[in-house]
Amino acid sequence: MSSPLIAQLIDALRILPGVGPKSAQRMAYAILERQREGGKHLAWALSEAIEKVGHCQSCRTLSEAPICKICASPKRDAGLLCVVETPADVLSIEQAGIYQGTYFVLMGHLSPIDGIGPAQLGLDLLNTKLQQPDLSELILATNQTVEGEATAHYIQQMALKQGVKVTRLAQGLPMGGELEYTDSATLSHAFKGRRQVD
Amino acid sequence: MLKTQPAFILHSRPYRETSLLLTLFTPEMGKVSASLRGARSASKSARQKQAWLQPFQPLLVEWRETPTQQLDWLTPKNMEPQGLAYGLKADAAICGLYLNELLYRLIQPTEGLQDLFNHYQQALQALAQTDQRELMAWHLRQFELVLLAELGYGIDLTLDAQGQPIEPAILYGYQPQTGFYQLNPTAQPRGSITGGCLLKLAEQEFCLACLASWKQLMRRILQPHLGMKPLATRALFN
Repeated sequence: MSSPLIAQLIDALRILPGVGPKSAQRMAYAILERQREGGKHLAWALSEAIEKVGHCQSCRTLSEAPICKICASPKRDAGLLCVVETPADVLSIEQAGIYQGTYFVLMGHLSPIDGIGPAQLGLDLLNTKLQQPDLSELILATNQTVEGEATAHYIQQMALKQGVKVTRLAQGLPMGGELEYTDSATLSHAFKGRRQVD
Repeated sequence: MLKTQPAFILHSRPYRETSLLLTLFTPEMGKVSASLRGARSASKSARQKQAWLQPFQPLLVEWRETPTQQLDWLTPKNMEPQGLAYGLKADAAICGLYLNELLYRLIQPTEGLQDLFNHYQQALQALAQTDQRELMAWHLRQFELVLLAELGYGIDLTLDAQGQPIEPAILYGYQPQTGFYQLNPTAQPRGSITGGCLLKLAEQEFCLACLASWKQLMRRILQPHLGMKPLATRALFN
């Protein structure tokens, strides 16, 4: 039986995704036996991050400043707004380096059974952004899942009322994808979205 | 003993590192939970699984039945798609999510929901084939009635609380547990419905003018079964 403080540490570590009682115990003992300095640093970094990282007031992504770097940058085209589900999606698009507009991060998707509706996704904030006169295009980059599609559809209806042009990312065959190994749903989307070759 | 069942995903959530926790709707076991390993990663097989591990996709689940098996939990040995998903787009997808939320909230792990399962498939099929909101609403109302009947909460739309036949010209109110009662024709309170609309609903006859009062009626009828928490999908119909 471990002492109350150790038990408390083990319990606290279990809030992390993928950490069960056994992993939590291993982590707790590793910190206390060998990594006391590292553990101190972890505690400091954790409390600093929780204290100081909030949501960007403009795009809702995680940010230390009230307005995140991307939103504050004058090089970014404020006429383009790309709607994504998570901050990780922003990172993916940034790494691809193909997009120079701004983002709006939903922090999830509409999921009625989980009780996540328009209010939880900050769609009222998005609605005020849609009213900005210099916005020329709204790009919907939510996931290709049923809920992601439903989210995209809901936002599209909102944008329609404001008269904003809406586009959706294309669907089809992945790079290096072989037809033989492509699932039938993706194939049927690829067929429906086929284009004339110039 | 190895068992197979057709199934639909009502809801899925991430579980552990790469697993999914699924809530399935099956004809023999009703609502049942299942965990599926290796369904969330960047690997090719996981990506292919993600393509069909979606709501409105007919699935086939195979599992080994053991004497100690819980009623509401199964561990699939194998799971595969069976044909193409019902292509619910735009408004129809939100209607489909509404059906899923209704089922998720109302059905329990039980036996013998074969008829409801068939009706669910028919409703998805009907939703996929229309882009008119009025028709979608009509399909939802029909499914709600079937769902109540299958769960044993069916209501007779042709008789009032006193056992008298519903008259087309009379205005009715609805009280949970007792049923329909006559209203003063001049009052017209909220939630009232004409006998004509009730009879049309009983005979499954589509009527554009009745849609709004049908919707109000079904909300009142479903309310006691759903409890305090409102259906979240309703907020998505704008």
